[in-house]
Amino acid sequence: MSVPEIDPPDDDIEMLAAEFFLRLLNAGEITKLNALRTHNRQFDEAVQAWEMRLMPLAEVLAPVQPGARVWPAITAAIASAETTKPRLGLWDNLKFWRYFGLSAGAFGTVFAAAMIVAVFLRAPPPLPIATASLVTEHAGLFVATAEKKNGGILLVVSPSQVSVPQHKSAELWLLTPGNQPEPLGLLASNRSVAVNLSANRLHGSISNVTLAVSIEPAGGSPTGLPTGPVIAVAKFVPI
Amino acid sequence: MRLRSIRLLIDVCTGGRIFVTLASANHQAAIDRAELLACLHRVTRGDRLALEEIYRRTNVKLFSLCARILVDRAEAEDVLQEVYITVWNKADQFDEARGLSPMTWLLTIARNRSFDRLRSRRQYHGALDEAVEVADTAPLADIALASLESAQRLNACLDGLDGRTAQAIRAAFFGGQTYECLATAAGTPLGSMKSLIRRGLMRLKACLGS
Repeated sequence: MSVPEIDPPDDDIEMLAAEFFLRLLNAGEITKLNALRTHNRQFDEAVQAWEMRLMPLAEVLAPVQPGARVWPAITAAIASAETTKPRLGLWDNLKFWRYFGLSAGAFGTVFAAAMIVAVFLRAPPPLPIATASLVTEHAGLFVATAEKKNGGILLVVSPSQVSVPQHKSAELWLLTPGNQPEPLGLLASNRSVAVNLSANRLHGSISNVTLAVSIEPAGGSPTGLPTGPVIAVAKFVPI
Repeated sequence: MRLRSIRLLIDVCTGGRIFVTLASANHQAAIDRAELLACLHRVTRGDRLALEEIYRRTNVKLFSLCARILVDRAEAEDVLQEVYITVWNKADQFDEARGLSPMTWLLTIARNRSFDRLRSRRQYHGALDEAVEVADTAPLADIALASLESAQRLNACLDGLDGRTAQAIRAAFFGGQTYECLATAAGTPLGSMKSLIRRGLMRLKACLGS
C-alpha cells in the first residue's frame, strides 16, 4: 500500500490530535487544544484513537518496581484529603436541595430529614461480597460484582470486549436451585449495568446463586424465560 | 477483615460445551481488563480496597513509564503517587463506552503527569538539557502476550518507517520533545522536522489500520 508523500494541512484534525498527544506543539498551542478537546468530540475521539495506537509502546518497557514508600504515601494522602474535603454526597448536591424546594419555611423539616440521609450517606462504602466472571465465546467477558445494599444486593455487571449480534440483546438471568430462571434485565456491551436484587430473590446465600447470559431478540426475551443461546454461565464466588 | 485477594472460580459453558478458561492470552487479557474495570467502578464509590487492587495490578507498568520519562527514580515515585491519587479522585471520568481500555487510561494519566513534572523541571532549570537519544525499547520475554501482540505490531510499523522518523516519534512519545526541540537536536530546519514526523504519523496510522 502506498501513502502519498504530501504534508497534511495544518488544520487536519487527525494530525493535530497526534501532535497534541505526542506533545510536539508548543505550550500555547497545547493550551488552545486542551480547550478544543472539551467541546469538540471529533477532536477528543481522534486524540483517544492516537492514545490507543501508540500506548503499546509504554506497555512493553522493561519492568521497574517502585519503592515500598509509594503505597503508604498514597493512602495517607487520600486519608488526609478525606478529612478536609469529603467526597461529594447527596448533602452537597444542589439538585437534591432544588428537588426538595428548599425554602426558609421548609428548612426545619428538610434539615432534620437531610441530616439523617447525610449521616447514612457518609457511612463507609460497602465492600463487595462476591464476584462472578461470565466468560463468553470469542474471549468476551462480563464481570459481576455483588455488594450489600439496603438489605438486598446491588450487582454491577461490567462488560469487556463483548459483542452482541445486531438486532439482538444480551439478557442477564438469575438461576437458583429448583427455580426457573428469573430475568434480571438487559446487559450493555459498552458500559456497566447495575441491578438491584431484593434479599428474598437470593434464596438464602449469594453462594446459591448462578448468573447466566443469553442472546435474545432486541428488547429481551418475549416469554420471560431464555429463548436464545446461553453464552455464559457463572457461579458467584464469595470474596 | 482485610481483603487479600479476589479468587475467581469460573464455571463456564457455552451452548452446552464446556470451555477451559484462563487458557489463552486473549482470555486472560479480557479477564484482566474486566476486573480492572470492576475495580474502577468500586473506586468511584469510594472503595479503598479497590484502589489497592488497581495499584497491585498496575504499579509496575505505570512506574516503568514514569521512570522512563523522568529518569530520576525519586521523582518518578512522587509522580506515581500523584497518578493513583488522580485515579482515586477521577475514576468516574473514565468513560468505558468509548472503547478505551482501563490500562490505556491509566498509562495516559501516568504519561501526562510525568510530562507535567518534566515541564516544571525544565522551567526550573531554564534549559532543555534532556537527551533526545532514546534507548532501545526492545520488549522483554516475560510480559503479557496480549500487550506484546499490539506492541509488536506497533514496533513493526515503526520499523517500516525510516530510522530518523521512527526515532523522532519515539523521542516525542517518551520525551515530550516538541518539534522545536527535535529540530534543534537533529540540526534540521523546523519545517523539515514537521514534515518528517507528519508523514511518519500518516504512514503509521495506515500501517496500524491495515
